[in-house]
Amino acid sequence: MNSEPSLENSINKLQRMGGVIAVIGVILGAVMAMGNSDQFFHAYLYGYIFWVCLTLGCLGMTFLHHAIRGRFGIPVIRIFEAGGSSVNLILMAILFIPILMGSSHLYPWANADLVSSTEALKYRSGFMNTGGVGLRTGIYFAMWALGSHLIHKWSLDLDASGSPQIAAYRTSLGCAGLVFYFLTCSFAFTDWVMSLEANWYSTIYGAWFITGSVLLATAFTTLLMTRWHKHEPYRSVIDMKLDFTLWRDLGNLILTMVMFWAYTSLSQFLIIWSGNIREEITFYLERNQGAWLIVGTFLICGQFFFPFLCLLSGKTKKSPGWRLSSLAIWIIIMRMVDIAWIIIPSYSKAHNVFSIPVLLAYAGSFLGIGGIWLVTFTTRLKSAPVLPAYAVLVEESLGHA
Amino acid sequence: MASTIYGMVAEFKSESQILNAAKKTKAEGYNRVEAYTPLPVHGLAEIIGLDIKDTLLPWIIFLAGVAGLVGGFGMEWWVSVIEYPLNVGGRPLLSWVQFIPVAYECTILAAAGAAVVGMFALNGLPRPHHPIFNAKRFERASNDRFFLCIEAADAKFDSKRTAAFLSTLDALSVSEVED
Repeated sequence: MNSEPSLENSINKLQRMGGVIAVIGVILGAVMAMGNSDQFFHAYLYGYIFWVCLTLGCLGMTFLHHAIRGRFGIPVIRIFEAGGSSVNLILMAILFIPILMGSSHLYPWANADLVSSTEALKYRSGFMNTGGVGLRTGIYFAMWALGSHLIHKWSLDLDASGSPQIAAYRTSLGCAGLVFYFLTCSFAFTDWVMSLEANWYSTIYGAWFITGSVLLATAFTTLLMTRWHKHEPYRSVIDMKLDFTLWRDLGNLILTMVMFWAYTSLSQFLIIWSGNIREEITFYLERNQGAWLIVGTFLICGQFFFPFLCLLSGKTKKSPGWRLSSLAIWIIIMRMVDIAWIIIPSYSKAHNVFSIPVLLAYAGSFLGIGGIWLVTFTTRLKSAPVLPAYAVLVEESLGHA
Repeated sequence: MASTIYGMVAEFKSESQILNAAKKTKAEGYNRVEAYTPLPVHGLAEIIGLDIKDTLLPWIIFLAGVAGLVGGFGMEWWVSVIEYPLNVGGRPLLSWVQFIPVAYECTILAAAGAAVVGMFALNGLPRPHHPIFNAKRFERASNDRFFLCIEAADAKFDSKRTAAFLSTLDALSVSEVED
């Protein structure tokens, strides 16, 4: 309506950007992967996993906020709720269908020859098969979407009524949700990503992926907040009471996730390295040579040491300035690289990913899925007030007691 | 008959009152301001300018952490490579992957130790007496009252004018503190 910068305009801009990105991505992906179904599914799984990580990271932060009701979550909870909304979860469930259809291009357990010749795969085949993964994925998404729908509904009901009973509902669901979230995500990432390896397994895999996902979601939200905090209604709330803590809290959350990511990564590597057993080391052997070794070393520096040292300093977390927003962008890029490092070397039909057409196919899948995701995300974000009214009331009463 | 004044102290009943008073005091141009509260008040430290960057402590902790990291890793290297080389399952003597947990623990130990020692060294604790204890009813700073003190060392300090200013701030009482 008006051209003045407002939150609504910024969200609309992001939505239009999402639409354009989606079109570019779909065309790019289709052109680059035309006639090469291996390449198509390889690229598709990569883009899918990145965006499903963001969705699930937002869902986890939603449960966490409603469980602990911390102050840090007040300005950002609606972004987390929109990112992990039932709409986005249903979208990701639908987008999983192509992966099921192309499972034989991706997973060793969907390759009949490999299954009959590999003892571990034969043993697992009753559990790890296209029907089983499809069924389980459906159940995961149904549970997540239900939890996300209920907690968002209660969050809105609480705005309308302020009823303490509804406040208790959302806290209870948040706590129970976190437990189910860890269990289901561990199963889901085992089905979707870890099973790309025929023999290798790791018990910390679920926690490792969840940490990365929550890190991604926090960085994404921090980036949006550094862009949007000057618009109403954020501005008055942040100025009023939260100014001193919001950026520090978001920065410290990212710092915590970065450290926990390093901790889980190292634990996994250390145990496998010490054990030194033939089946267990395959994952790291594939990544310990050639370009992937460079990528892995870069990840240790770029996803741990650099953000860790930056975030130790209070300066980075003091204001929503260029330091914090650039760091958020950096973390998002590191997540893109990390997920590539985890997924791509596992593809059994090896291909050289470091060539322009292959990279473009990956970019197409990433942008195509991401663009659609941004459109549904912004639609959902616009459907509710960006600040929960109950929380604003609490803040006001604290401020003017 | 104490002739010197430590500062002028105002007593408040609530967090929001002392926050508000601290803001106005800073706006008035006072810089040597200290607050004494029974519980941590969010944002108060930032308002009165008790900024972390003003102290050396973070750097002491960081450097001690780095020293702990290097020292811990160095110790492991010296033990396993130089002093007592031991072949464990054919792994290299310098098995740096295995060294990380111990090096990490040494980092934390050194940093935490430096934090405690450095904190005491820099803030002058333990200190059995402080002039602020002369303030009336100051024992309630550890119970239910919030105290804001403008120190006499402040360039703008003037006992009459400062007292007059503080009494405009909704304080329960304003009193002079002897040194």
